[in-house]
Amino acid sequence: MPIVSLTHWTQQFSTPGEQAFLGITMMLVGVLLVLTILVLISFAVGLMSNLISKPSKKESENTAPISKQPEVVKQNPIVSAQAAAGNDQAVIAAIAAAVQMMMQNEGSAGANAGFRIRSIRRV
Amino acid sequence: MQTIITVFQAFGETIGRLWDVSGFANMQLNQLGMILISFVLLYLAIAKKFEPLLLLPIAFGMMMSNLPMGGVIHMEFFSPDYIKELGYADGTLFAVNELISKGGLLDFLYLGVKLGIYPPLIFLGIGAMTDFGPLLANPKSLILGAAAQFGIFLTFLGALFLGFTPDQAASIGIIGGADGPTAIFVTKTLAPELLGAIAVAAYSYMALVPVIQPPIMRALTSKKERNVVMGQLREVSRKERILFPIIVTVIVALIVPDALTLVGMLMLGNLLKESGVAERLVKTASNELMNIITIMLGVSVGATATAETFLRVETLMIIVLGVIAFGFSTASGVLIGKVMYKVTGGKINPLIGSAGVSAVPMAARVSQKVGQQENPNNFLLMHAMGPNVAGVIGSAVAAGILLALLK
Repeated sequence: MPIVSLTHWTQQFSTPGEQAFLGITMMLVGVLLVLTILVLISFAVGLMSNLISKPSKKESENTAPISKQPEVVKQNPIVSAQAAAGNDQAVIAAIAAAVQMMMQNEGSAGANAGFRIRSIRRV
Repeated sequence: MQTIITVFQAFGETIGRLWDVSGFANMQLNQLGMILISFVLLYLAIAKKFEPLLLLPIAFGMMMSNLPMGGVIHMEFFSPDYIKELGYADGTLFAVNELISKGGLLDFLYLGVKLGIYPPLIFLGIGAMTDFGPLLANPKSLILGAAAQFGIFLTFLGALFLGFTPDQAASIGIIGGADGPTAIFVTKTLAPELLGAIAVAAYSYMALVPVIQPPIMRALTSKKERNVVMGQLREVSRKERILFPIIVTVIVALIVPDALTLVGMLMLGNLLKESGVAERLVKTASNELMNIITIMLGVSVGATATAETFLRVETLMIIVLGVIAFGFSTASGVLIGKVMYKVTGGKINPLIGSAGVSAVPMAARVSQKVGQQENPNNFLLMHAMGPNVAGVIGSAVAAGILLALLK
């Protein structure tokens, strides 16, 4: 059996009855404190979520009518066409990589699978 | 003739000397017992895959320290009585000069445990790998994480009744948190003499989560409750993810400063991840650093389980109390889950309560598995991840409270 050697403030609780009292008290305090801290964090998280979501809701409400404005008219057609072309290249590269990886995984083709994505069409 | 006799005599003396310093001649029965125990743990880690990343180094460290004459670790250098006997000042943590002059590799590695360096660094890695999104999407799951810590305190009380000192009882109770680094962090401060037994018990029970939890979960819930399908979790914004670790650190540090080391490092790891600006650090914390620390922690903790400290009645009691702690933690999580089921009008599946113990993500997977046994179309995993990661915070907070009260 372990030797009971108290060297702390707990030392004053030396009899079995006092130790039981100490244990029960510490258990209750501990459980309540853990619960309190986590409930507090829970409230803080809830509060934070509300504070963050409110401005973003307002933002979305404010931006909604703006999005109905004829923005296309303001855009430079040459710039937007270049941007779309650049974006298409990225999309083609991503699709090609995905298809090649899939074919390699299936073992149906090697690295030189011999396919080429020439163009994509936005639907 | 005399020369031949002398040669044989010299040969005999040499062999005899070698035999005297060999492990065979110095093997004691209790050391043999410990080596056999380490073999069992190695088997469980390798063949049964029971928490192999930690159980394997622990078992190997245990084996090395119990092989006679190896002298890989000198636990007396860390013994308060020995340190006092050598005339060091009160409060000295280890015999500095002896450690430097005679210490071996494991003595130096053990410094990371003794000084409380490894567990917080492991928490840094855990934080870098953890997604607190499910918890942020459903903050109420923090209550389940808190409920599952009840087993810690109940076992603390049980251990006190069994005659353990408050410090030892706290170290045993923390096994109920199912959190190895936290158990080591508390034990190295409060009851270093029990470190080996508690580490082995904690990691063994973490590995046994899929065995221990399901019967308790089924016993405490009805078929109807297990069938509850929970709604989709909301999407969590990046701002929330970034603010969460900062808020948790500040709240915990202000109320329980002793939990700051663990919780702070956990949250730092998570902030590195969620900030999205420190990819290299996230990669290091969650991979290389974590792996290095895991090896060092496992081997040095295993090495503390010498025959003198491990083969005692207390070890058996710790192992029994550990499973009780774990069972109570699971049960209290499920019971509070049932309360939440009632309060929310049946929207919360009580099975996710058992994930409040902090064995991440295994406990959440168990909730998912038990739920799917009732309803194959029920996906509880993400819902259970909330209480699961809350359990990590909860057990670290519980550890901080115990340290604050008993340190």
